[in-house]
Amino acid sequence: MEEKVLEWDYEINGKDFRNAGKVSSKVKEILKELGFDPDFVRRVAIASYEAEMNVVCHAERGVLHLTISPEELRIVVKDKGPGIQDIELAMQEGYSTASPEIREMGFGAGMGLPNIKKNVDKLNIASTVGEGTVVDMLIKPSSIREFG
Amino acid sequence: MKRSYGIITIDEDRCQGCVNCIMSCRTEAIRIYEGKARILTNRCIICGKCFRDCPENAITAKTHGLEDLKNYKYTVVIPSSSLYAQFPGEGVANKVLCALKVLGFDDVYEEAVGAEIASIATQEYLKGYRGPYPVISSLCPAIIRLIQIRFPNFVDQINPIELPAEIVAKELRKVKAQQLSLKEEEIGIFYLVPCPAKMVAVAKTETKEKSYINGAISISDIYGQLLAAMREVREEENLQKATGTGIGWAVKGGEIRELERQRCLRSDMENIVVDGIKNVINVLDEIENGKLRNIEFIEARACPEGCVGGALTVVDRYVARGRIRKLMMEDERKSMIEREEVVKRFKQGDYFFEKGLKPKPFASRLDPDPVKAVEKMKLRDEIHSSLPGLDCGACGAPNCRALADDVVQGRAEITDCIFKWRERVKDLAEEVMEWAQKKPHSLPKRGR
Repeated sequence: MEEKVLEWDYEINGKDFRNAGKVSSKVKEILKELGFDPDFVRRVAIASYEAEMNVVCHAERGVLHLTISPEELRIVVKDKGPGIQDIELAMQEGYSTASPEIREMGFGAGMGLPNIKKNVDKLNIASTVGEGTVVDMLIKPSSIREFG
Repeated sequence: MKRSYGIITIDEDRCQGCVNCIMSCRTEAIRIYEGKARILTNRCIICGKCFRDCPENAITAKTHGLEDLKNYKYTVVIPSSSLYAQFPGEGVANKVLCALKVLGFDDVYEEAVGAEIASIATQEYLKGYRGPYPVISSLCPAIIRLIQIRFPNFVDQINPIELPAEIVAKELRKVKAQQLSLKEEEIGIFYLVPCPAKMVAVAKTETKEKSYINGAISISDIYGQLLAAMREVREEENLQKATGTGIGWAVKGGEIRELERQRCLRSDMENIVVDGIKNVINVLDEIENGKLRNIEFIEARACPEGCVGGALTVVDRYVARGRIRKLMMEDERKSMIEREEVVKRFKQGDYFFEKGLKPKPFASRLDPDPVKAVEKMKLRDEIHSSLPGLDCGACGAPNCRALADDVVQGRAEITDCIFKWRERVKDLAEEVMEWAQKKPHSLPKRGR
């Protein structure tokens, strides 16, 4: 049987706080239409939102690539930006390199990457300082809840 | 001809098949089919927005009327607090209540009293709450339905305290039956409602086996009779028991205002008042994404300005809001509700939903079979990108994406789009021309 795979690409603009969150809203809408379990949708929504916000807060621009196959969902967010100096440090809760302005807006609490990790099954981060970062997330649908 | 969709009726003789309703519906629940508006009931949240936006007044809702009073030995009416705002003048509230008795009800008991009880119950609930935030107000049944359909994750975060009118009705039925030595079923309790959402919350309650209210009557249906009855009120009996605290629930922010006054909201969190379905969808969407955080309580209302903006009210919603606010601000009377008693009964579980709300997350999904859903989505997106993107509504769907949806669901054809249809006609015309120009070789190059 032919493998059913769906793919989407969405562009994310750095420093565009007005439109921040729109890409993850679209991702969420697609999952709801495909009939995924609400808890799964919530996990994906949070992970994709955090990844999107990382691009908005830190990078120049980026692309969110969404792939859905029957077994799993994969989101790869690739950006052109400053990159991450020390990924291990960035994974720690509360660690952030966000500027004071961004913090004033309520972002940059250092919870982004830890929050992603909590909500995905597999997380891979590759980064080159001065070039950009690739955040690769794999999320598997949990067992289907029954609804009356 | 009239066509019914649950409690909603569309008068197809009046419906002109224009696009006003399909464009106004925030859940994209209406289509024009064969020149008439049709409702997709699984998407409809029964908010009544289309009632207001229909220029022909073809969309209405009705379950009960004054003619139903004769079926009971004793009748009580519970008027929604938005009723006070339908009439001008100082001290009008009590007169309206008296006029309801002139219309034939044996007794009147205000929804606003229930609101005062519900507020105390909510305060207690918030105090002991340890679950995920935000807690979402249960006051607006249209919002509850919106959450069940579009934000199933939040269903368990809906404040599980009953509607004020149900709290009142439950109590009244017991007390009145005892007082009058009647059977509980001999008492008819009617709820005077400002919107179809509250009507359906009574007719098809989802938070208990059966509503404590026998029927809902629309404010707009009896408005004329009520005006006439007000002139007949000679001596006023003191019927108004509710204070500004409860009456304030008729406008947006009324619920949170009392929570703030009682200082029961957490100082380290925020709270939100949001009205209008589009705005509510935006806020819930941002919360679901994790963009809006640290919110303790949301008072969300489907109608702009709150219940005074309900589709079954009469007076302009902004005027009505002003009148309610006056009642809220000027009313210095102390609530007759005994807090200790309410707290005690809250702890006994008296005010809670009798059964939990269920999510209905699959209203927006394309197909129950995931593989088919994926196929449909691929096709839908292809069709969508081939459409002109004008969102004109001429096809009968509110926008191009909705038409693409309808095509993959077998509810419409791509040529319902007049631009696609024109393309086909053009292609066909070109093909006809091509054939018209072909000649058999036997004929000379020029001439016939």
